[in-house]
Amino acid sequence: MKKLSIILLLFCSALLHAQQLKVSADKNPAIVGEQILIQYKINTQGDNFKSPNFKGLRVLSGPNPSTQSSYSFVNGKSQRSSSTTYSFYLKAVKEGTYTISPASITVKGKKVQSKAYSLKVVKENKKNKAQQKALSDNLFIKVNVSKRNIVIGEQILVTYKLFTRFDLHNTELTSLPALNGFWAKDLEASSRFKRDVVDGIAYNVATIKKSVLTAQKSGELIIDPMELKCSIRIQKKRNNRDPFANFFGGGYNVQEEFISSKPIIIKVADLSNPPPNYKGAVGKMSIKSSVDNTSINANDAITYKLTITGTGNIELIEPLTIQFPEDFEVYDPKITDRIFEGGMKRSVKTFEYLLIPRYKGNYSIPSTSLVVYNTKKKQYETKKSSKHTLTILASKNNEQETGTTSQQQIRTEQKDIHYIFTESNLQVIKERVIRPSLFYILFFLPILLFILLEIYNRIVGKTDTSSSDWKNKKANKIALKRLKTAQICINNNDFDGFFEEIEKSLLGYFADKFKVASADLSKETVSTYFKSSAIENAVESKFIALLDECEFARYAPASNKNAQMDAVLSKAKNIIIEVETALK
Amino acid sequence: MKRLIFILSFIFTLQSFAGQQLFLQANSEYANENYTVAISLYDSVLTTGLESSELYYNLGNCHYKTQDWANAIWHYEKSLQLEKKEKTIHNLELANLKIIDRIEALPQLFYKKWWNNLTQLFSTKTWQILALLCIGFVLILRLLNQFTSLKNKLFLRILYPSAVILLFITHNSYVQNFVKKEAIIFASVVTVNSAPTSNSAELFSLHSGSKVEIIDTIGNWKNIKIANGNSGWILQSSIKEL
Repeated sequence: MKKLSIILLLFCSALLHAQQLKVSADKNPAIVGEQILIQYKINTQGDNFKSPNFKGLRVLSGPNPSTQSSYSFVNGKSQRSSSTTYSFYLKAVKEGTYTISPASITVKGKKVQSKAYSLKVVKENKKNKAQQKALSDNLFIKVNVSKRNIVIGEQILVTYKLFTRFDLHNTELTSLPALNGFWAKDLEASSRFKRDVVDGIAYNVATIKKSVLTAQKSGELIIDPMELKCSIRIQKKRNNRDPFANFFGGGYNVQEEFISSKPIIIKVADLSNPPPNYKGAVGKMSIKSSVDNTSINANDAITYKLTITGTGNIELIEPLTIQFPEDFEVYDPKITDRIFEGGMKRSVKTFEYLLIPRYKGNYSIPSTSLVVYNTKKKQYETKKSSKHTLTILASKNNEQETGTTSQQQIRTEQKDIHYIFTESNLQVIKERVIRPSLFYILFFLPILLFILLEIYNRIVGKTDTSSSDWKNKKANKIALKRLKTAQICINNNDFDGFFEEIEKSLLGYFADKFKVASADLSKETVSTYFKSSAIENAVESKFIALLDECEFARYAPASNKNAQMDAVLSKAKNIIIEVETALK
Repeated sequence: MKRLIFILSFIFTLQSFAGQQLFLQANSEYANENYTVAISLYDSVLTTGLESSELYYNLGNCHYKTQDWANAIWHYEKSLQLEKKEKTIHNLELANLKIIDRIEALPQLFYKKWWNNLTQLFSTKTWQILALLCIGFVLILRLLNQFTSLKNKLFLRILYPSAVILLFITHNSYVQNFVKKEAIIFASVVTVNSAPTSNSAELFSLHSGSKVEIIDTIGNWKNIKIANGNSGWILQSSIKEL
């Protein structure tokens, strides 16, 4: 009965505490560097566990959930219980008091929170330090670097070796070295332990990691430490009371230790004045090219193979620019490489181009050059492939190659500057221009001369203009001007107007000549003026006759009026010209 | 006097011979892709007091090959000042593609463009000589008209206006080639200020190789104008005048 009550009590208490997340640590206070186990336990199944914030503490592993369930049957009563535990392995780096924030879990839709937990971490004591020293003497990672001062693109081999004198149960990489500024290639490393003697002490040595690093940028690059979790098997002290255990060699305790390598600084130098076509190849390489067929029909394929062999960052070499003939169809290269030790050993990289010549003719593939920086000689080397001349014959299937009928446009894909002038007419540096003052003087001097000439002509040259044709021309001009309206009348067939106009113009003309008012001038009075002037009498008679004719024509209808008008006009013109020439 | 002329001409031929030798030597260095050596050789030709458009062109090519775009452009422009050559124009265009700034030139009115193209057909000196020859012809014909019975009025009628047109072209050419001052920016980046003081507002920035026109100068400051019409002030030290 008593038992039952106890069970009932337990049951009740279990019920009471069913929904509590309990937190516990295996040691509190803990020592710096020690491994601490923190457990969160709940007496039921829960889900959605939210990890607490371990501020300042390093989480080695976790949360590791584990569930337990038990079933008991006591006195005909069955009871089931289950519990879930989430454990964390922590490590403190510095002493102090750490507060771990509450963790939470959802149980049947209800959120259960743990209490905040305070963990004290104290400094290790001397004994512990000695232990630590003993540990670091007997278990450590050594990093070997082939070279510490390199140039960009140069490769180094980095080897991580684990030295141990313990019986290692298990090792696990916890953090891989971050390789900032390096291009890394891991090599196969045998992790089997070998015996090695260092300073008279025998160690078991295993190569954990081996990589070839290629520097991608200059400056001081740091290879971050590598961290390893080692489980050391320590034999339990003999327990004399347990003969079986003694017989079977006893149990083991597994102690977990974290060891890390030292960071390594690699100095990477920039390459000084690289040649323009340097593409970053470093090492010792040679280049070779081959063509599978030098004489082929058009539209058949040729394989052009470029092989780079040697050591160095061969793997990083990009396809080179090859000046294939314009008439060739070029496909993207097939790149194959056989890299050994990440390029530390002689490796091969091949670029295979498939070319299809489209037209017949003789073509050549020029040699391609690869600039390599030789780290041993510390200088650039230009490696050249061979030049290939290809003879392309006419295509077999004629309908393919249209040959001469289809013209192709000349393509200029690459533009380059023209070549230099090989000859030059060098001249002493001088004024490249006639000084403007001199130029304007030279230019305006002739103009000044013209002006002077014109002035001279105006003043002196009047007599000079007596040359007959000059005068004729002028007289003609005057006559035309005077008889302009008459001419218009002819054009308009204005018969009456014409004769009136002729009369008026002629009278007006003479009035101007004799310097009298035209009203004073009439057929009767004109003779007196003629006598006073230098004009010949013949002109006078002609003038009078013309006036008469005009008058007559105006009142007597004539048959051929147009011809008459023309005749009258020319007569009038002649009179004016005669007077003009006579007067001058 | 005669001896002096002889000596002078001798010195000149000697100098030009030495220059020619240097020029050829530089050409072979260029062929061997030793561009920096070629540059120093070409420069030494310049220091002997000789020049030619080809020399500037070759120097431009050397700078182009060493990817010194500003210098390349400067020398091509210099070469074009002496003589307008197809090759130089082509190379200058390519060099202008390499620089950072891409300045869109303001579109010109068509008649202005024609006028400028006509002006650039010959060098200023050629235009000057043409104008003088034309006016000289006019003078001769006019005098022949005046004093002899030889008459050629038609010729005179053509030559009179052409002399005037040539005068205008010559003037335009002179202004373009000698009054208008241009420069190439040599500093890698220059901020163009709104006034000739360093604490004035920064309007825009130009990079090496861009061509600017110098409008005005105050102290160390140059008032510059670029092809798209923007203008501002920059320090004299950042440019190299053509």
